[in-house]
Amino acid sequence: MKVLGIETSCDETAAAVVSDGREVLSNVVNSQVEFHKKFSGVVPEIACRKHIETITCVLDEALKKAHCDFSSIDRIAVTNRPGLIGALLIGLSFAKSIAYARGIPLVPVSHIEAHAYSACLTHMSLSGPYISLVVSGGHTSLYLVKDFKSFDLLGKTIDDAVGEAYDKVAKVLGMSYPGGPEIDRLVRSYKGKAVSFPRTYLEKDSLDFSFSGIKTAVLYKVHPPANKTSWEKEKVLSEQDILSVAKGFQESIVDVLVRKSIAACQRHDCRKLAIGGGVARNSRLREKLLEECSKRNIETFYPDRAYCTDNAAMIAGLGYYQPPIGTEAMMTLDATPTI
Amino acid sequence: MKILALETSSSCVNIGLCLDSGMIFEESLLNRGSQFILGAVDKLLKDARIKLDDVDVFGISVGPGSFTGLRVGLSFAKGFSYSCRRPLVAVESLKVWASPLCRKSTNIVVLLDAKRTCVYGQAFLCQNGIPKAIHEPFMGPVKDFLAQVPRESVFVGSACGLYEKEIREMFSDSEKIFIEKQNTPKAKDLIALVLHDAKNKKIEFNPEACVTPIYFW
Repeated sequence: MKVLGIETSCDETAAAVVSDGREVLSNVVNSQVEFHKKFSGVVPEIACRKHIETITCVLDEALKKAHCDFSSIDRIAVTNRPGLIGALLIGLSFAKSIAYARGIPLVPVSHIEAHAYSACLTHMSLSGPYISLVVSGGHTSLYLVKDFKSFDLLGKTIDDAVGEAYDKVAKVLGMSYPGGPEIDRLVRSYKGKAVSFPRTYLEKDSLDFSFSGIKTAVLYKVHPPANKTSWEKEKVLSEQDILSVAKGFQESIVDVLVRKSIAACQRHDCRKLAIGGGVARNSRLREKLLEECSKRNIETFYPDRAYCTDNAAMIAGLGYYQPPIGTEAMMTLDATPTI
Repeated sequence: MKILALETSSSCVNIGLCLDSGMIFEESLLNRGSQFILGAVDKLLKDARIKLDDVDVFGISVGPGSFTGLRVGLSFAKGFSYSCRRPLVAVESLKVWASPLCRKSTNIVVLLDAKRTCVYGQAFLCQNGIPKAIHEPFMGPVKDFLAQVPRESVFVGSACGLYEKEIREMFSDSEKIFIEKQNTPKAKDLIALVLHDAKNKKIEFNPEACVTPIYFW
């Protein structure tokens, strides 16, 4: 069965064709990162403008690369939640019109669940139950994946996503956007000391996350408040200072992610941990997870680089396992910005 | 020629379907969201007893107007056009506003509220029932715009109520100012413009055509 996936939940316009949920026939992503760079974050209005400009060409390319036309597509999977509402509506409306015109069944897919699934595109025989850690610019969640029809949410961030924290910290430290790869790259070759930052574990046994506190902690470290009302004049940080703050920040974040992922595996007696989302590319997170998981006999699964960041292959892949909605429900299907 | 036209640039979504006979079916989605557009299209096609594949041309109003409305309308239009392999004809919303008034006057001025104390406006001259723009669209303070539009015009558009006083003051010596109270552009007027385009120039299906909305800002 060939599934066409369409994804426009944030700042990547993407379309892909995947066979039987696993074999990626094409995966086309039009990234807008260059347009958002000067704002150090995704600007929703710019994202929407780019989606509507490029969506037809992205789809056309995905079909051509897969040597497909609509007659050989059995199903269309589209991201309808969560994400930027204006951005979601473009992909959803586009997918609905095609599904209606060609009489192809439509499956609405959750963007985060698709990230939790994404490792299955690389590890063909990976199946539930497994624990999935989704770490990206918009999400930080832990799931128990039993089959691919429903995902049990074990914990999520109560404020900011881990990737967002990376971006903001990078901005405070004067680094370029996106912040995650930049901090990772600079810290990797730095052997000096790290500033010690607190780890936020929330309540005992909680699998939720919080990353707003560490953003403030980094900000205060770099620009300490002189007193309650006025701020110290901006001082020039040495390269050494910047790297020690960046390293300390990364260590704090990685510790929390690793400890909670392992706690989730142990609680549900799972020996498989899959990681998804853009931050899954982070080398320090991978190193630490490997170290801690191997001690506990937990196997880790990562998607290929192309399936870490937003893409439509994971949408099409998961769409294979989930049931299409009926024609009536498809007519009024709406996008939802939250989980 | 069968035309399916989506007018989503204002607060009221208006969808029209024109048959070879010239008969037009219309659906309005007053204060209802984008999620009902497909249902309305389905209803029109059923009422007219045709299939989406029978449609020869898709028409879309590309703004300026509601940012999200324009993009949602265009997403549907692009999806229909691409999957049925039929041409997509884009029309500026100001022309759609002006079109029905060609029966009333030869000079038409369309005035939209662009916020930030600016108007987005354009003056049209009607020729054979079709509005032709006499200058590039204007963006700026209402008074600067009104100073350059022809006298004896009919005014229409979402900003007419807002700037009625300014319009009346500017043309106080002229008796022939008329401010039209129409609130939204209509799909049937969009259809007339698409039909005119289809008769007068070659329109072809082009999947690589980059049709984009026109924005105020």
